[in-house]
Amino acid sequence: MILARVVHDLLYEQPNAEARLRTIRTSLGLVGALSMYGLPPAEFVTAHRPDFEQAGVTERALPACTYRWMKLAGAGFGLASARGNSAGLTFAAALTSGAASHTSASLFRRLWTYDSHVAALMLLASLPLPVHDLERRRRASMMIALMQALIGCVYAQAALSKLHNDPQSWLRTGDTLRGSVAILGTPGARKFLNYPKIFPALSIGAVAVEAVVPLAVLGGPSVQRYAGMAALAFHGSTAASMRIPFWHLASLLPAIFIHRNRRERVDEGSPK
Amino acid sequence: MRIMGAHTRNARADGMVLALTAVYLLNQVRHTWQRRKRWPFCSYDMFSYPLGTRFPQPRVQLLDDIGATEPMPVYGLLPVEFFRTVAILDEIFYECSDEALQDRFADRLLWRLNERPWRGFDEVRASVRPRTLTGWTGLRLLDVVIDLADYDAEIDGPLHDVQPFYSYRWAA
Repeated sequence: MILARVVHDLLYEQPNAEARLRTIRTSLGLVGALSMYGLPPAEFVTAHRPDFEQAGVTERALPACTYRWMKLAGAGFGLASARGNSAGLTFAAALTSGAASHTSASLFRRLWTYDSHVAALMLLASLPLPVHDLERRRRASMMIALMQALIGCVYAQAALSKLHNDPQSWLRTGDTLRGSVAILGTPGARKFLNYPKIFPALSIGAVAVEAVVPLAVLGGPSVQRYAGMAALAFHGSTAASMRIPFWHLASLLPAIFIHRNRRERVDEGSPK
Repeated sequence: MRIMGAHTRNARADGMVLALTAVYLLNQVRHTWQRRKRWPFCSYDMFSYPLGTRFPQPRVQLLDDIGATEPMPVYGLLPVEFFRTVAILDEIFYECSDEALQDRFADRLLWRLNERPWRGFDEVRASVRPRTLTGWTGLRLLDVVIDLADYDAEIDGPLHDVQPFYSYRWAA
């Protein structure tokens, strides 16, 4: 009964949902546009697709020319949708950037599709809002809740994979983290290699953050805000230690988990 | 009646979105459990494979008029994320046995390093810039082992069990 109430509030009672949805679309548009810049150049697709086909490692994807246009269109629609008030532009950005991202991932089937959440989030953010006020709020609230669930799922997957594939290292020895810092670490982080005993604790801490964020989605606005800040700090530390900011996820956390506008704060302080 | 109709349609649409999202999330978790990646699903299994205290790593020596560079990480050889570079080189030069394909790939790789250098962005590492006007003229890929017991990250060494597994040089 309590869980049903929590899920209902999470889905349909997100505070100030419409204004937050605009902020989320803005963040997503900018992230989507910038992520197009990070994809491989079309020349790479043209040059190596025959090699990958011959090696039997490629899957069906767009031709290089279409890929180039999808990248440009993805960046353009992403920037245009950053105004935050057009579901149509967000939808166009989701389709074009998704097509470019799919081509990059399909070119070589072992390529990890580790930023496909951006297209999935854009698709959710592009649902049209109904005309009726109450239904608009409910739909906007549901969209935010589903985006929170999607991001929570990413962290849950990261924790699950570590516990499933390498529990000994992530819960006891810390060897995998230590080895990763050795080969990828920044000069500052490499200094910690002289203190191998701290890596088990750091490993457990990393898995703990990844496991707690999904649970915090159910915890209401305040808990979500703290979880979002913890996750941001986590990404900050991986950026500082290994130059892996996971920015395409981290930069969405303020809009989806942390941001609350002035009206909401005033409402919280006033009598119920 | 018209308002009721719209209300029903919206409720149905919401239900469908909820169901589709639930299916998507379940598929995501399934991909993690099965260690699979297939766009748009992703296992997000970063750093989840055991390294141990002694593990193999790829290194490259680039060749030019001066000679060969010191062995260095392969991350700056392709304009894709560093972990993708490792996976691609592994597939082309390790798993594949077609020497003509390997030489064609290496040829294009060297051309790109010389003619189309790229900047680093996020997890894409900047290309290894040529030291001379003639640019890079060859490469040698090495299989090495890193032992955390004696590895010094500042000098990227000592590297153990160094085994060259592929080399290519432009004809003079």
